[in-house]
Amino acid sequence: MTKLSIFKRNPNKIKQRPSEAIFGAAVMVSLVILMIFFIYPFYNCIVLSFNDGRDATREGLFFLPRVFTMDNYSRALRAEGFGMAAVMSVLRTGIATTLSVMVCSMFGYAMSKNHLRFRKLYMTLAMIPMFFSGGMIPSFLLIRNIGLYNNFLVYILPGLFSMFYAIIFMGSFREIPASLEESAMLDGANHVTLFYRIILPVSKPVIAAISIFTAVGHWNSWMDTMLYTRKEGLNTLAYLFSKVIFSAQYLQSLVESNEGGSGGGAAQIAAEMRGATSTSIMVAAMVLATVPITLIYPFFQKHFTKGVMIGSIKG
Amino acid sequence: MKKEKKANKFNLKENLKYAVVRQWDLQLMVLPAIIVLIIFAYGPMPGIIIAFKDYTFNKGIFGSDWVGLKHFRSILTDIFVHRSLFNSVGLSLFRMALLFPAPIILALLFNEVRSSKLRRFFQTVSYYPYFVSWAVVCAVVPIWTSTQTGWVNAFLQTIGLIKEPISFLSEANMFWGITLMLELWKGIGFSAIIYIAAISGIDQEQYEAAIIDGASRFQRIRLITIPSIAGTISLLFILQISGIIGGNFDVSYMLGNPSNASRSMILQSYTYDVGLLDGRFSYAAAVGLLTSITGMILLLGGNFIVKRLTKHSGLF
Repeated sequence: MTKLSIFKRNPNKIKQRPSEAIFGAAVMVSLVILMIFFIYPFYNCIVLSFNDGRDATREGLFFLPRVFTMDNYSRALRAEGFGMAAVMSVLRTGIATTLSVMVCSMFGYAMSKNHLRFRKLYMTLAMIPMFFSGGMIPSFLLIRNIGLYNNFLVYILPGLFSMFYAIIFMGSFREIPASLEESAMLDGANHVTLFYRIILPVSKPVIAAISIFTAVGHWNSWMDTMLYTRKEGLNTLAYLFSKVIFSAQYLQSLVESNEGGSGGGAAQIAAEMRGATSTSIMVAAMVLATVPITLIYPFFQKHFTKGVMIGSIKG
Repeated sequence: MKKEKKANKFNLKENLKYAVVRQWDLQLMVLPAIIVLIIFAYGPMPGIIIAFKDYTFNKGIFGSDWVGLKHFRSILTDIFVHRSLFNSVGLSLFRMALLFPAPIILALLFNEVRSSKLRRFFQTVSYYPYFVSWAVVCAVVPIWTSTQTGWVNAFLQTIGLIKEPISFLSEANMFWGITLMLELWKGIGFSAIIYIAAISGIDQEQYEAAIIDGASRFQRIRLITIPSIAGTISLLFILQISGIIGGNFDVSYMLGNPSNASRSMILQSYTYDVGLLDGRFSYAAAVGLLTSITGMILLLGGNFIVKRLTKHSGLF
């Protein structure tokens, strides 16, 4: 830096050099291209969802619906299992997020106190699973052995604690001025009441950030449904979509295996027709499933950077 | 006073007494997390021993017969394991090389946008894909890449990159590219948040001084921004290695099909197929253990690299 200041001191050219302008323009152009790359896939889905299903298979649809219809949405809402799965997704996300934020924040709070007895032990205990886990099969056997298979609680309990979030909480609670706690402690309050009365209310940004991370994870999770449940009543929205993929592949393989046969042509057309309309309905259903989580997101957004920053960088 | 002195030495009984009597409130707050950890993180670990047994449902984890290294010997000759291992490791290396630096570059680009409104808009857009489930993404990929009506083929043809539409999902050689592309699209904006936070913490006076000294924008990035966030970068690199190795079961499993299996099958998806679909629990647990060990090796390797390249002390 010092070298730079000796050789390049030139206060007259502070404002804009041509190379600076080019640099700025290049940044903008690449960002705009990137933004299109982020948005367009969504936009394409929205266009598809408002277009007639059979028409969509005729030719590509890129910018606007050709044959506008709301039919896909009304059929998606009436589709078998959609309503039930939506209820399940909401329940799971709501309960698990609340409990998990409580567990992680309390842990983070207690761990932010250096005088906590057994602190090192707890820390080690919580760090090891970040790098080594039992794996899919032993976890499956455990879930089955403790009776969580086909049980709603399998969505809630296993994911209650996340060390990553606890670390963020820990860092954020450390930033709170000690004087705030001390006055309460003088009044004889214990740490539990102190935590709920004073610490949580001043930690809204980090709570908002962690809540939304957790909620998104639960809303979008499909693997635990596949691994640990077999009851239709426990299906979530995300799981329904993962199932759609396999039924579509199955349909495709039926078409291919029928191609040689005499009735092959008819079977193929029938399958394609069914595939066509069901594709559009599926896209509509997916738009519906993605909307709720994206609606709460702008609401929390302002806390994102703040919440994450306080915790992770200094933690 | 006497008590205080004793507690300084490690004395389990005293510590326990202190914890229960004097710190009951703090200890109570730790308890739920510890219980969850012990049941769900440590609970499965003893189950790993079935990799050395012939597990049957009736005899249970501890009652089943020991078979030593039988399953590991079969792994040596299992061509599917070789393939999955190759794909898992190969994809992990590509993730570290391509997906790890991407959010850093994005955060640097964001930082160069002068208008804060525009910058916020860009950021908002960039982490939108993070909110979509992998299940949804994988369900629409076949539609996006359809040879007849998909926008991907139409776009690539329009800009002249390809002449004929490509059936992306049935080309084994395309699979790594597809996975990495989807992961990039879904994760880059979200991962950039942490770097944006780090950049916003840099002392602005440094930039002002640099401007007066006549440093160009590029020089300011290279000489101020990047060195200032180097600590965050190396910390995240180590933290993310564990996630990177975790592989992407979602994409490999949902977009994997017989025609791209040679490139899409990873250790996790093979474990699932063998264990939960075929019911060969012990063999699958052995493959799972191999996965964990591969993960540990990559983690230690990453830690070593970070230690070598930077002054960061690494995790251990």
